[in-house]
Amino acid sequence: MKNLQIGIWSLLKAAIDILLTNPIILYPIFLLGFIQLLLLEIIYFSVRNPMSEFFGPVIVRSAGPAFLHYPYNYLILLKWFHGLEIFIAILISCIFYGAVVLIISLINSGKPVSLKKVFQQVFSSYIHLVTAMILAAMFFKGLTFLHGLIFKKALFIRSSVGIYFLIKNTVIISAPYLQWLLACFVTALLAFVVPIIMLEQKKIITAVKLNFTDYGRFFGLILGVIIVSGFLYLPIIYLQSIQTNEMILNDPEMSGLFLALSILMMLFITAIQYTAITLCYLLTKEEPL
Amino acid sequence: MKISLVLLPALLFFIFVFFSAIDRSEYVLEKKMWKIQQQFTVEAQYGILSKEKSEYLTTMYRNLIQQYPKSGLLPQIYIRIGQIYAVNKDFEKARTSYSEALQRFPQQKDLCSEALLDIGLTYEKENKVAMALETYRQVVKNYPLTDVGLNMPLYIANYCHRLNKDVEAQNAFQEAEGFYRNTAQENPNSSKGFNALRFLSVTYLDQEKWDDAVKIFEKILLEYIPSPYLDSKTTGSMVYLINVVSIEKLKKPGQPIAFYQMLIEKHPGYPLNKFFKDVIVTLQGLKNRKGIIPRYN
Repeated sequence: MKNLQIGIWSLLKAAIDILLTNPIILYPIFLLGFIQLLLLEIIYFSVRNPMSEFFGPVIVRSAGPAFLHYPYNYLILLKWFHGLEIFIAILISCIFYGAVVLIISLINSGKPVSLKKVFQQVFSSYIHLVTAMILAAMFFKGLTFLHGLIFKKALFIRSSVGIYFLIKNTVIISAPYLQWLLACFVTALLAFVVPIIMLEQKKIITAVKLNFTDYGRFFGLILGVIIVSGFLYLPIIYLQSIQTNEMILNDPEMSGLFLALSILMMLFITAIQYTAITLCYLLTKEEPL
Repeated sequence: MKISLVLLPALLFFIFVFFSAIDRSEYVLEKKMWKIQQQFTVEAQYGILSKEKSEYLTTMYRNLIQQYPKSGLLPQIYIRIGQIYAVNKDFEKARTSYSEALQRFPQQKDLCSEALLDIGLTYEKENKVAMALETYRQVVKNYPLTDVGLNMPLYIANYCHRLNKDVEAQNAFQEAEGFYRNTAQENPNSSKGFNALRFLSVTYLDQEKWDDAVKIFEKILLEYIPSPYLDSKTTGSMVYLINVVSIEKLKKPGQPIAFYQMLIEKHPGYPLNKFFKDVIVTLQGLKNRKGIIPRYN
């Protein structure tokens, strides 16, 4: 790792190489995938006996009785899972991201990886990891709020031809991609917070401060890494943006499968991103640039 | 770790199989019905449903009846078989299927009213007017409080009107008025009462009894604010109709203003009061100049 050249492609290549040669790094991501798919399965069975005894009244009250039946339950599946995503990201994902960082650090220092010890250490920093995730979510919400204002302005454009129409169309069509870009921006902005919390045992405020003061100069590099690896998710964003309720009802099983695939794809990308971020962090520690 | 790589996906698979196996709901049947109905809907929509395909689809439905003889969804299956026959203009077979639903599941009033309506529609398509009207009246008599039953008196009146049977239409409209008024009185503060009043207002609108229609819309707002039946969209469409009828037909633009002011006074904390105030301002502006009445729904 000491010979690693810092650059977007070399960092990405090194991250993928390390993931391939040390598949144990993927284990926390595998566990996170299991939890997400388990939640998806629970939501899927929420309309069926015996789970409908508990979830049925909630679904009827929140959406209507039709959503207890096939194929409308798939609309609930998508809606509820996307609603849960933020809670998963804040409360659950941080544990596994922290574990990924720790495992890479142990491998880098040549120490044996004990998953039990890794998770013990992660849980001792859990509160700071959760706070870091809340901070990232708040940043993202703030930026999407601003984007929402522009989006609403564009919707009020009445022109059906000319430059204003072009602006309106561009803003509307690009909305999901811009949201993706904002997510990349926020991830890059706070990229080193998790490694600092886990590897330097710092508290959240110090970690955020160090993230900007000591690692701010890598913002461009990390943003590049996150955007390039995130390109893999663009086909999913495109398919999600054109997916209508009618399409879901026409082929509900496919929409469920697509959701499961999008979860797995996102996890794969996250694994690459966190490995690259941790590598960059470790490299700066070993060999200051 | 290696064990869990196998165990966890296996656990997901086991949970899927386990919950699918213990499920005693109608989910699987619903799914099969949906798949058959999809084939029917697409072909019927484009008018390309062949006799062979109809037979195939009805056979599929009949297989489901055999597979799930105790299902609560059987009446729906009979209705759907009837619909396939009706699209192919095989009205006798369609009526037989609808009647089967009626005879076998008399306790399921909503579905029975739907089956009886479908029987009436087959008569209508065959231009058997007397039979169609008789069937529609049976719906009103036997299932007055179902969704189909509530809609029926107005449907009968409009059906007679479409056939240029002016006297019958006039009588049917009067019957509809009486039916809706009684239903609203007998079912206050309920979805039935609310829907009866809505149908009553439409009955008046169809007869161009503008003043009566506005009074009923106002009555709905007065009696059903606040209630779960009157959401913001429904309120918006009613406000729009009150405004249009008052200004365009009755030439009384001041009438809705006074009504909304009274409504705000009666329900000071109502969340849509700001909306009513905005409507008042717009209407006051319209009183002095010609303008377009804004839509609120």
